[in-house]
Amino acid sequence: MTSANLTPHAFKILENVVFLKKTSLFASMRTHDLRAIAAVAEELSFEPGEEIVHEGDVGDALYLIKEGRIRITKKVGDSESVDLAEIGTGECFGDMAVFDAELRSASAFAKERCVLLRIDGEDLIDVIVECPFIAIEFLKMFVKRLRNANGRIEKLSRTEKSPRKLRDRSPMWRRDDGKG
Amino acid sequence: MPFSRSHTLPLFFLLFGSFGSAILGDSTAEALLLARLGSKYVPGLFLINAAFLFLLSSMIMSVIDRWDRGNLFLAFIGTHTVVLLCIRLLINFDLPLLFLFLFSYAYVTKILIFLLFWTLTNDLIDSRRAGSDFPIIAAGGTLGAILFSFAIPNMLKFISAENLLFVWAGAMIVTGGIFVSLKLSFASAFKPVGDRYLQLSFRWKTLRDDLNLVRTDPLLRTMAIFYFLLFFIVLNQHYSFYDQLNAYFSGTEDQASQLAGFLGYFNGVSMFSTFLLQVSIAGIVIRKAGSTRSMFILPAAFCVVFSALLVMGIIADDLEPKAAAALLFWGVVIGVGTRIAFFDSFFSPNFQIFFSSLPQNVRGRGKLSIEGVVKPAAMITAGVWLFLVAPRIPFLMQISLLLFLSVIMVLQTRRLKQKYTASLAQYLRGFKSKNTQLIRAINVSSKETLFLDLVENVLKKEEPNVKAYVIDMLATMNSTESISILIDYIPRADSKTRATIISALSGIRHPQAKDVFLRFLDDSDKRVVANCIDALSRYRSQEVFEKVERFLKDENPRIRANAVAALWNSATSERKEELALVLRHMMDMGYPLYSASALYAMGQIRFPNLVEELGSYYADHPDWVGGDKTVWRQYVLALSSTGQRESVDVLLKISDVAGRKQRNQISTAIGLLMNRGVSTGYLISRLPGINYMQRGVLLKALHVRAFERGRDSLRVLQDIAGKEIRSIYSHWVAFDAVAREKPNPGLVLLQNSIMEECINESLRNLFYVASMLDGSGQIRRIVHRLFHTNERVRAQALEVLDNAGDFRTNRSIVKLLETSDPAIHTTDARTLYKMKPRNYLSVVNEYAHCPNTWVRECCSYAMSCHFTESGEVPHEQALPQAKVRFLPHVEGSEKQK
Repeated sequence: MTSANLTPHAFKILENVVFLKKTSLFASMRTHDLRAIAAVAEELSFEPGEEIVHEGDVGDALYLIKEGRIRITKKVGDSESVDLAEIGTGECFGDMAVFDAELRSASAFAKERCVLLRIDGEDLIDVIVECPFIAIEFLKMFVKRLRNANGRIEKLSRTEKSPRKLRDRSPMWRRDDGKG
Repeated sequence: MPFSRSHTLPLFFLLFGSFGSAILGDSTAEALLLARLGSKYVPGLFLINAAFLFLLSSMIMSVIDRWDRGNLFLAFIGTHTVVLLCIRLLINFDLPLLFLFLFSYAYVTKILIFLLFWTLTNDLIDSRRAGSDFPIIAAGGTLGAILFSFAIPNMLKFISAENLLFVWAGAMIVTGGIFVSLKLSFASAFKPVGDRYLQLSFRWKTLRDDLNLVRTDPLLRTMAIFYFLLFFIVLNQHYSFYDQLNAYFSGTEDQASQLAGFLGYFNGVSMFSTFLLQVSIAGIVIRKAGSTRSMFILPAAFCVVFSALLVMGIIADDLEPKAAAALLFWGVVIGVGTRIAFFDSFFSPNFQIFFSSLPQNVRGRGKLSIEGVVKPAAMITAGVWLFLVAPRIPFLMQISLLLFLSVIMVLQTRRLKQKYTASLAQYLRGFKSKNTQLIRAINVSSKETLFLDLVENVLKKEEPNVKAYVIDMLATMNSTESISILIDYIPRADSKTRATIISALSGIRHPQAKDVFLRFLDDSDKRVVANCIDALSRYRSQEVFEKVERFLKDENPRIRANAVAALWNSATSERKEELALVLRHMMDMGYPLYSASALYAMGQIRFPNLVEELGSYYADHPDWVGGDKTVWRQYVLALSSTGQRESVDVLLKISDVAGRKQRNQISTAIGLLMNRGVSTGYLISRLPGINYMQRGVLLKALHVRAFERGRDSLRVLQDIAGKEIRSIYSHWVAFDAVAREKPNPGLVLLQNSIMEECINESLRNLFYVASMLDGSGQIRRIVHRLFHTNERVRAQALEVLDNAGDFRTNRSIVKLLETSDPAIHTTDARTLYKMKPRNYLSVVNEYAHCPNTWVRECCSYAMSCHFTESGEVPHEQALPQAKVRFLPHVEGSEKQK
């Protein structure tokens, strides 16, 4: 049995595997499966203020921040835009756009010098076809997000219900309803 | 698990108070009854106790799952205390019936307090934790009983037996106080689940539903039978105890105090023995044997006690009456003491585990049905027996009957263990829809004209996938009508559907089919032609050969390969050589479709020396075969078509470099080989000589199949399990060595790869082996639940593992799964296998030889990172392999920098 031979390219791929494993998106995936993703990932650098994705464009790739910070903004009028969020190392954007055909809902700008991993949607789909276990991991991740969203909705509906209950019990409200 | 371990101590003290006060109450009530009225009323009181228990439990039954259990417990303690004080006041009026009531009341309240206590405990502790926590909590109860029992004779020096009722009431108040502190911390755990409808009144429907639950649930039904037998035996034994006690102390001065004092000492000694048993042997036995296996101990103790009494009874016939009475008295007393000790050490804590494995809404109702109906039924039966039958048969016959029932209890315990495991496995499996099978049944059996019309209509209008489904269905029906529909439809169908129909018809023998295949050999679509030739390869006629011959030079690879297959079987040996050359040429052309088509044809015609041919083909073109999924699939299928053992060797060899999906395909291919005659016995015998990855592939194919459970096969599987367990510990030691190092990306990756590719894969192999060793098939059903996110579900899956299949293997798996702390596993590895902690360089050196290519790649990366960061050159002695293997990569990466 001989040891695998590491070329500089292979070294880079493995370096990216380690990075992907640290991100919340891919943390639960097996490193061997991540190798297939890392192999199709492209490393990109952006200078401060440079636009990475543009709102309204076709979303075709998933981006992971390897270094630096990204500002996510959304247009509110013809010329104005508001900052929605700021994300940093290990976080990602554009993951949903890989699986549906919707347009980018916001723009992303480099806040400082950034290094990103770009995973092309089609490449990712190819990897998934070759290694369907990755799709299962994505499904798990989306289910987890759905559960969290359900939890938040339930929590919100509870906080909304409580004042209504109080309102229903209050004689003032009954009077307003014309029954008191 | 939302609750911390901190509830164990309050529960310990709660049971201390509850059990202590119950023992005090029992001793007081028994002494007052025996002293004032004798033992003659005891069988009758059993009946009254049964009625009390039934009525009270029926009431509780309707509220326990619908009410806050914490409030229920507090309400019970409050009421109980008030009743005790009232009884004490009424004793002053010298009412003989009051002592009968007190006896029954003490008994019923004791039962209810324990019932509520264990229900509350089950709300806080899951079935896995129960094994370790319940004995501690039970020890609290025993300790309370001992202290209260020994206190009784001392208290009697200052107060009368009647005034022990005040002490009893005081103990209940203190117990209530302990519970209030517990309730403040864990109030939410006692809240009702689901149906919040409060139903205080007794309802026959509720009772009927709950009894129905006991009747239909296999586990509850078995528990009920076990419980009935147990209490019939216990009550018979206890009646003998009262009888002997009354005879022994009759005529003594201040009989009530004498009896209360003796009972105090008796309870104290028996409880102290229980305590000693619990802190010494019981814990070890339960831990080693498991909760359910420990349930055998009480019935076994009964067998020993009654056998001894039987012998004593025979010996007593030859003794003087006084000596004979003393022998039997102490025999009975020691027997009861033994039963109490074994009951509380091995039965009480473990029986609760069966309940804790049930869903919460079933658990409470099942428990109350068993306590409130089955137990009263046992008491009534015992009461009637003691009233009507026991006095009329000799003592030795009574004991013989109890011995016989004890033996039945042993058998029932075995059944209980099986049902418990099956019940857990069924619960963990979830529910399966029956609709799919129903639809399949309709599809295959339906030959109605209306149905065929409908299908024909679908064939005309629907999209290709639906059409393919309908075509397959019609071909499977294989009736004159269904085949006519297909044949008539071919000329009107699009090319893809034509190809699908030809393919579907090729699998069946139909008189019209051959003409159809010949007719469509000139079809414009190559797929249709290829399928027609493939179908014609099943016919050996001159007409077919003549028509197919011309396709040997066709450009389309499928057509050419299928033509070879169609001509092969009736060709001469020289002709076969020519045809073989056509296929070999196709394989070497360098186009995946040509290679795949040739491989398909080779599999179809049973090409001579196919295994060797394929083996050498892989040796010459490993990347070609492994890199293209079409070639790979046909290659593996061709190997599986041989039905030869040698194919298994080739498949296992290529599995080393295969990906996960490819390994699954190899397992399927091995399954096909088994269908074609390769025996499971042979495959099992191959397991020891192959590496863990190859074993994984082979076990995946094997574990779903029935095999002859011969001694040799089982021994091989047990050895394999031992080997996998050892290697998992070895991987954990390696993992720990890497984890202890200052982390760098290389080590992080290596750590992950050891976990994912070595520990988890070996564990998977271990599950397959455990599942094969389990004749009941329960483990196969729950394996995927062992990693469930919900701790209770995981605990239940571990329980199944603990109770089914091979005890030794499964125990080791449970131990491996209970923690993911590498330090703990390393310590276990040292204890179990004398493995020493390792240096991470030696780990890298070892894993650089791992059969898994990914792990080897991670080793290279780890070393590259290490030497790149440190600038060190690996010391030859510390890492002889590394110097040779890894230095070039370090240089490469440095150049890149």
